[in-house]
Amino acid sequence: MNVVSETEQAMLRDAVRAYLARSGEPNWADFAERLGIGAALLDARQGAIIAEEIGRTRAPLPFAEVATTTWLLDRCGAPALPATAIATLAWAEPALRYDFAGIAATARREGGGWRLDGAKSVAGWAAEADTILITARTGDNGLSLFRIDPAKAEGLSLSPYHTIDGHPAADLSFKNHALSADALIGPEGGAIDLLDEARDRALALFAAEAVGLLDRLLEQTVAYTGQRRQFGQPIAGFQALQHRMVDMYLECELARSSAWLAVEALDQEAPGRGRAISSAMVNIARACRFVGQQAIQLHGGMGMTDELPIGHYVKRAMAIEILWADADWHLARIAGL
Amino acid sequence: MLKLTAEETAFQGEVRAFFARDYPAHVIAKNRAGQRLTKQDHIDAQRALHARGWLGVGWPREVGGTGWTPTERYIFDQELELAHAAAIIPMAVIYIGPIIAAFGSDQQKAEWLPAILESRSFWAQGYSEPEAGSDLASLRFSAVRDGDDYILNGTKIWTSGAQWADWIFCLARTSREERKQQGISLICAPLDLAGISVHPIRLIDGSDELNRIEFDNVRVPVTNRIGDEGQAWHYANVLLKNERLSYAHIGAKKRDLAKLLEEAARLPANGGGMMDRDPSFRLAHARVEARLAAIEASILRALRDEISMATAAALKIACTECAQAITELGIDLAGRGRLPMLDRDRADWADAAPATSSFGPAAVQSYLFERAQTIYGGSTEVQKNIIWRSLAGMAR
Repeated sequence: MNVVSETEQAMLRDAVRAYLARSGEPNWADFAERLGIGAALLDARQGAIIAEEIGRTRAPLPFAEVATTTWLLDRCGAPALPATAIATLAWAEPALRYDFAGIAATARREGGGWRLDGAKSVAGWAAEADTILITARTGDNGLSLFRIDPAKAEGLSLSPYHTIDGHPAADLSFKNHALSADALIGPEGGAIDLLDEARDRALALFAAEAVGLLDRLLEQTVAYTGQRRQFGQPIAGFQALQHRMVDMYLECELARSSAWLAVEALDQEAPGRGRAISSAMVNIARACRFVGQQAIQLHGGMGMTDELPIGHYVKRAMAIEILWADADWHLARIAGL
Repeated sequence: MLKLTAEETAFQGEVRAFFARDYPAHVIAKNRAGQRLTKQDHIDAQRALHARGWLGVGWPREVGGTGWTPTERYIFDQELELAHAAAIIPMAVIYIGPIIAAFGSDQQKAEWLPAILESRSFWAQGYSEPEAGSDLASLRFSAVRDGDDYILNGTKIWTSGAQWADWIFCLARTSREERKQQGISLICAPLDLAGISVHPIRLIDGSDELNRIEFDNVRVPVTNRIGDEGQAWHYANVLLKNERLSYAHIGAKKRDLAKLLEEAARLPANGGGMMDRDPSFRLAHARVEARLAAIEASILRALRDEISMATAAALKIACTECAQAITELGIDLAGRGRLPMLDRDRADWADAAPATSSFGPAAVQSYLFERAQTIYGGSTEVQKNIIWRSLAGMAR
């Protein structure tokens, strides 16, 4: 990992913050080009800074998806994509929960290429992507990665929708979908370790994004309770509510530390890295749940409305809790179960 | 657990048979499939109940009500919920009907009550205001006397079902008194009057059943006031006392917990197998089940005795938090399946995400919607204030 100086980090943060502050509905190509984020896609420390700012504004950008895919392509020695392209990874399936061992999609050799069969559920940004990496079983049942171009649609059906956080996603189904020989990325049947590491890298970015979301949830709640008057005073004057917001702050602080822990752990080898990332994510998930629930409760009826940003922040936090694994999965990994 | 008398057992059997045989099957099917109900579905459901004489729950017999004992009412509510029948929309039947019956004029009783029972009119509740939520007594919605009319001005908010309603009952300030609970009257208005505008509020679960209603110089006859001028706070409290257990929904909680186990048997676990064998999920589920057992016992105790304000407040907290805990189990069970945000108005709603179980998208919307349970009907924080006043009184 590159070591970027603190000054450079601050400059990156300011640049991203300024960009997100002025663009109403940011689109990925413009974001990637204007900010020149090519290097940050492979450097998790820079990536974490960008992800946190994305969290603060809740900008619907596929940053973690593109970064994770870019890293996989790079690690496999595959041709890189332009940073402005949208790329994503479709691994989840209807018959598995979080473990890659449950992946059942298959790719078999036919002629000079491959034929892909199976289904993928809730693949973020799949309908918008220029490139989708697909996990599938090959030959001796090992996991392999395939790069597909969703524009070549024969044998691919794609059902797009939005997820609770307003991001686009799609369910995919492949029936005898033809791929050329060079669609295979990385070692045939040997993608499991790569996938494990890709997941850890994605989680570190989502942890950073959560920090931005959680800080904003707390800031907005403190501001709202300071101006909302009931019983003749701002409700922030009630000690019961003050202490609740202090509890939210404690979770935010531990979330920030957890996100830092996660990024720094990416330099480590597999078992230690996994335990550190999972420890971070258990805390992040707990903070997302608690801070989200309290933010709604302290906003009262207003917290239930689509009009206020609160609910949208909460829903993004609810997605981050489980995008790659849930707290129980992380606990099991820490415990070595 | 609840030792029923022979008559009560027979009644329970009757209610169960009714929902199995004489209740609209399409309503139950939609509820089971997680599809949103339409107004017509509710009308169909209410008509079936009314045909059996069971719609006016909590109403006295002489105005067409059931006249049930608290235990009979409890048995009915539980069977309705366990059958996946439509929850009775409470505004007319549960909230205002009994107040009209108790405090309304003969004319109001003759006009309004049959219209409710025959599903000719739906009602909305105009209580909360933008600046009067937890502190409801500080409401500012005004009714100014002008000859034989009142002129209504102000804003009501969080009005559920106003898009379906024909009438609204409002807490309105008719005079300024020393105590802010005084000088409030209960005044009804047809929602199609000039000067009333209904603005839907979209919620975080994607629903838009709540509304904000603006009143701009709306004229209604004084005969639309229920009871005496300035007495609405008293009437509202009488109602609260009668209905303080109506939010218990023990049957719904049992039904939802059972449904979670059914769904778990269809959802894959890590490492193969299904989630109904996942120890972590099962222990979390059992924890809520144990909590529910204690809550049910509390409700049963409350059915037999008069309960204090503090006990009622404690039960409101326990019941609503338990309902939320069940929806939390739901999103935890769903895992990534909670991600798709789908529109549940159509029968084929789940086809939008064909490679995802329909359980998750329904579970996440329940979780989001039920966050409101600890906010409405007196927030948890307000209930705790009530309980504390009682504890502080004990210390004196």
